[in-house]
Amino acid sequence: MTDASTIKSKVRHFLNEQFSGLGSNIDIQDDTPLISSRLMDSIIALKLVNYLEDNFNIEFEAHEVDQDNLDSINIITNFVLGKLK
Amino acid sequence: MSSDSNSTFINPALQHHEQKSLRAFIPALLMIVLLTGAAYSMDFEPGSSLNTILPILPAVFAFHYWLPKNTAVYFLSFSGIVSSYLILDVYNATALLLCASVFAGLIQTQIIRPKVKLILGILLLFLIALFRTGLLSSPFISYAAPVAGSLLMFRGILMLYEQHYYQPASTFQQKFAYILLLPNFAFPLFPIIDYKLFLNNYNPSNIHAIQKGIRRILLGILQLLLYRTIYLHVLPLQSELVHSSDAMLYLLSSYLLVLHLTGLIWMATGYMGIIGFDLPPAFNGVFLVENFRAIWRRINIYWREFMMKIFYYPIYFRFRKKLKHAVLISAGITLTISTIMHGWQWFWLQGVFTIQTTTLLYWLILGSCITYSLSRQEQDKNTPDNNSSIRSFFSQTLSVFLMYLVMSVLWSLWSSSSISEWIYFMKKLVPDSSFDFLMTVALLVTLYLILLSGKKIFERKSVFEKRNAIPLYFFAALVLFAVSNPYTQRILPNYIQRPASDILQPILNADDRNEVTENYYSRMLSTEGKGRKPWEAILKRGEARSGLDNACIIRNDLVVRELIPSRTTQLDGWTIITNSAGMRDREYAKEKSADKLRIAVLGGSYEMGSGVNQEYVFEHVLEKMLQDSIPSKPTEILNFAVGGYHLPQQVWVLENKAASFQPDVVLCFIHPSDARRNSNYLAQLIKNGTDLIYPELYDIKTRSGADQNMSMNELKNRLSPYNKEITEWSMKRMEAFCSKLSIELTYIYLPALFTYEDDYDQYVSIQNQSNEKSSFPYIIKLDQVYAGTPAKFGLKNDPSHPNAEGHRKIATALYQKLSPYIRNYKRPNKTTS
Repeated sequence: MTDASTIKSKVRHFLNEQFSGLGSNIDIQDDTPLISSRLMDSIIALKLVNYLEDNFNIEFEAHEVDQDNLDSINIITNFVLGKLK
Repeated sequence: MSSDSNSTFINPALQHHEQKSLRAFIPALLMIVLLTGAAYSMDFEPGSSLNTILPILPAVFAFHYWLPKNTAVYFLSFSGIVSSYLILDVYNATALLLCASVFAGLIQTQIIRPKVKLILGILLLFLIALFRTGLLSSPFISYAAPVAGSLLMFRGILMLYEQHYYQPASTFQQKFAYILLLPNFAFPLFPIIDYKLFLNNYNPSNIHAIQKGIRRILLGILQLLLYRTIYLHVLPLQSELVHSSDAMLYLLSSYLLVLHLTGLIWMATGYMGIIGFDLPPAFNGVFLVENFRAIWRRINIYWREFMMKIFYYPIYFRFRKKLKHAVLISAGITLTISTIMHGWQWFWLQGVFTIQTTTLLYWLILGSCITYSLSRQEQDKNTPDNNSSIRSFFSQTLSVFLMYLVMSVLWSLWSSSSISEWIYFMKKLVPDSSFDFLMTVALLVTLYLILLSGKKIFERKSVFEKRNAIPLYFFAALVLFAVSNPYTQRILPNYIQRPASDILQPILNADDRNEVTENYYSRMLSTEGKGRKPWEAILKRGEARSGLDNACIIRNDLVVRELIPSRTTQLDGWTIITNSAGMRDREYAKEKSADKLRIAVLGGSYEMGSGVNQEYVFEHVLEKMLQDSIPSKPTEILNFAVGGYHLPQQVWVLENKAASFQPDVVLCFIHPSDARRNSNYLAQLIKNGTDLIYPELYDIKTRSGADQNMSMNELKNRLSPYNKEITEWSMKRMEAFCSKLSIELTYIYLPALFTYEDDYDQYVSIQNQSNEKSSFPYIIKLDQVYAGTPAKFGLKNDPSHPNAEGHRKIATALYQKLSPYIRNYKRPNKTTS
């Protein structure tokens, strides 16, 4: 059963991998703004979408790739849980 | 990561809950007043509505700050409605508001399906487009079409999108307010704020957004001043590029002209900030990027996110499971759509849908580089973004330097009217001597050092974003207000006032001044429909000079145009009445009276009296002054001037028109930079395949290698080395002609409004030989004619031409200079022509 902590852990792992690859040392908390702070750009956002779809067997629609659903680890987690219901 | 969006003026926990207070309000209002006053005085966008809405912005902020949030959104609509009536007349403003209401209502209604809404929205825009092209017209609503089309074009797409996907749905009031947001009228083409951001982000008492907004307005103004400095004092004239070092300086400095766009966007987002919208920054350090990925992150993010949301993501999601290279294909399609959208913007500006090959190539190359750079992102594991070693810093600066060069070359492509013109100028970058090579290298080294310093400053800019920088911003606002305000300017010392005055006013450089003048007259000759007027002509500016085509006969030789005889032409606020000889003057008998001194005036739009009625033209005023004050020497002045005439045309007028009236004296008027405009004029004639009439001009054409098939910029560049020769030929030919007929010839050097350029000395040196028998001087300079306050003497809607008071000043100055010669004049025994 996929729970919130599993989702958070995987998302955090993905983001750390992406940002360390760019040479950034940012400590990402569960409520760190990602899109609104311009930390996560559109390319990384699409990679995140693919990652979430592959790991949690959900499907995004184009209009769902936005700040409302992907702006922090907490928000992403709630969105994925909503998709899984 | 943008440090701008992470900076905090106050405790972030308070930013959405801070109580409104006078302590926060008064300093903010004061700074907004100072900055708005400075921006108004500096008039950054003379062709737009910016200066119309600037004076009301402090009041909008003040009311908006104190209103309750649920009332504030209605106030946003109200301020937009007021702006409509300030910028447009009653009919056009009402038409605009009607369009906005219908559009907002159409999107809002639940009884129409989304696809039908889209079709109806497109039909409405199509109807507005018919007005823009002139295919539909109305005497009452000529201005509403381009304004409505610009406002609704992209905003409509965003509202439709969010109406479909965003929950909860927004209200009609919010939609109406979004279309009529105050900054939209100064920046109508592209929405500064995304519709969803407008709905989510709005907080009228967000002091953090207000203070950030003030900082952005200040930085926007500073960018615009830097743009003007580069434009006027660094950028060489394109028409005068000779050596590779000139071309390199032109290449490197013309890219910096992007500061014009960045400055305006920063001002716009700043004004959004003061009414409660905390927006992300655009063009943040865009000149200091190291690679195309960084360009992508820092360019116009509003445009980027609009294209991503509306086009790229839907296209990508449709193809991602079907095509292997969905990312690249989606990027390619989105890029094509982006180019078409830019062409669509131009339609509202110019009335013509156009996509140039160079623009297409620019976006293709830039888009490909960005796509490639982004696709390589995950392989870039060792990007030393925060490696602090000195070697790494110099290496990063080298990357910045190379990116700057690449973007400069791409920008030069975008700015060129054709690929052949671009290639012509690229070839000029090849040094033609070792000295030239060294100068070019020196320029590049200077650029590297400037970028190195810029990078260092940019990395430390967070220092200026903290709370204790507020006094610094206040001081900067005060200084800007003081130096820009005409009343406080007077107390500044001359060594600050004079150089600062150039960049504090909307002055065109010589190339653009000539372009505006030539474009005005070539538009007049255009066979395109009358509905196709450039934006600035639509929005009231330049109306005084439009319609002149109705008063002229067009010729296919170097004369180009002549005033139609015995014609009354009503223009916007002034009338041209011509006599039977085609002069803008009263009737004169062809045969001269023996007792009268007859003076012929040759000149252009100043002398013709563009923008004022006949009784105010200085020639008419001077004639009356002379008649009243020297009754013993009755004088009549015949005005042969026609707007847009250059010296070669004056030669023709003298020989073919003025001479037949047997003048005793000819006054030929010349202005600063007239000599430089000769090449533009000749370039236009050659481009049009016009008869140059005189063998000397044909000879210049041959020697310059100018050809009709070349672009205008190349023609101007080839002909500009001959400016002096054209001037000399014109003046000496007139001198010889007048000497043969015993006519006194005097050149009058008349300063132009809004330029301090003074090339008087080059005309003085042209005199063929001194004529001791002349009663009149060879040349007279009317300096100080506007007495240091030129702004007072320009027409309201065309400040480059004198108003009635300005003409009176010119007449007075001429009277003072000429009356002693007129009093002493004795007619010689003349040979008949």
